[in-house]
Amino acid sequence: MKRRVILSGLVLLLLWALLSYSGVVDSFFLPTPLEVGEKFVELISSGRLFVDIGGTFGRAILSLKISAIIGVPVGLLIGLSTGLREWLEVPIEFFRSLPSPAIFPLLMVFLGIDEKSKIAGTVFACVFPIIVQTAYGVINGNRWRVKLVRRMGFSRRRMLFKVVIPEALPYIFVGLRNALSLSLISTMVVEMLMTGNIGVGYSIFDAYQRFRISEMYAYILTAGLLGWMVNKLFVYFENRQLHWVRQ
Amino acid sequence: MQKTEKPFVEVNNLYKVYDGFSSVLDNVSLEIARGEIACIFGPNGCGKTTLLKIIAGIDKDYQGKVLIGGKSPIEVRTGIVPQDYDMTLLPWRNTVDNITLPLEVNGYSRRVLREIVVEFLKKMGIKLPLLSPVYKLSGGQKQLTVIARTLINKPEFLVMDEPFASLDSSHFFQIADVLKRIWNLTEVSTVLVTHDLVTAVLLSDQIFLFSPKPGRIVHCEKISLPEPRSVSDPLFVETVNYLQGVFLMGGE
Repeated sequence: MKRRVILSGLVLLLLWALLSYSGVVDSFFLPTPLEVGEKFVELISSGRLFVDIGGTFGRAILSLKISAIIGVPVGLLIGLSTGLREWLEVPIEFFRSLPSPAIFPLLMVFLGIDEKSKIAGTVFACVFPIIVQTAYGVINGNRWRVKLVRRMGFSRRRMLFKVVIPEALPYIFVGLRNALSLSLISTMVVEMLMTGNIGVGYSIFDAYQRFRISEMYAYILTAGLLGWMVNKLFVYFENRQLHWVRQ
Repeated sequence: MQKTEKPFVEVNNLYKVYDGFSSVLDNVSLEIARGEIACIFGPNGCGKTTLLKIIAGIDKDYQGKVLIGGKSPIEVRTGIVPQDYDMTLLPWRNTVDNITLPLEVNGYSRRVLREIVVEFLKKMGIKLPLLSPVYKLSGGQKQLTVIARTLINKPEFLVMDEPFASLDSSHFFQIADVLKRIWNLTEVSTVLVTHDLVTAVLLSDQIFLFSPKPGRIVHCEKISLPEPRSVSDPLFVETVNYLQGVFLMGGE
């Protein structure tokens, strides 16, 4: 299993090398792995890459935190109250279906072009999956279990923490995982569209505009690896927290 | 008939209709004395579980009079053992913390709660892997956990819905023993739903036979077999057969 995973990576690399060295694809558009590797080392040794990763990661995580702080309580409320659910169904479905870049210009008009609108744009992208999944978690929770524990004489507030939230946790984690991927995507888009000078997204776009193609590839590779690693880390954390779910 | 004491459970002319037209319980009346173990026996879908939910104070939507110890079912501290243990245990907690759950209403510290559980289980002669997550327990252990959780709060009234339905026979006798011990120690009035006559005759003082839907009591039988009861005792077999016959004849 593990061997196949490593092998598949090597095959991809080989394919890339084949395409670029053979000249099937113009070497200007697709530099060789060696060239990109050199650029990569250069970016690492200058420290630039870490600054960019830190910038993107910092924004993504901050946005994710804000989204969770808003999204989980809102999702719980929607899940618990049928009335509220009916009120908010249309607005949530509407804004959820709206691709977040569509409102970036609007955010820039209201919040300016600095960090605030970058964070707000990403929060907009992340908050809806969290709301929707949390609400699902509450709605799909085991009614019978809730009734039975409630009959033991627990207050509504205690019920929330003892039964409703743990029961919804697997769904909340699905929402958070989706939001995590979205936060990285959205942050990079935001970095490309709004001014700034730090971030993986910014650097991809900057390299593109200056025709530094190997640098662009190095950053694209970084973006991919970043997303992959962050997801792996989250799944590991999730499995530890939700040890009972897979039983 | 003369009575020295008011019955503990009084159900009078109870009707339950789902969605306005589907009748589930049709004029059910029964009395159960304090400390008595009563069995409700009937085919699937005859409203046994519905009756249980009503007397347990979970289902409040019915017509008729239901009193438990002279109070409305909601006001009574009732221990409920539901049919499916997996649906009622909290899978994210370990065994001991599942058992402490009803006590958490009182706001004791975790340590005190655990001590209470250990003490209680010792008294009841129940052995469980306390620190294991509940999903790792066997079916019998899960059911024992539910029973312990139900009894830890010293309920005035105990209702059990098919407590043996999802257990194999070795677990059945183990849990039946635990229940007998509990009844000897606490004398808690109990209503037990079952679709197995052997269970009913083995455990109860009184059996109510229900008709198929809509549920109606067709026969009530006091069981006065001596303790300890044995399934191989000829008198026991005779009682089971007799009730089987009564049930097949529709209670005549």
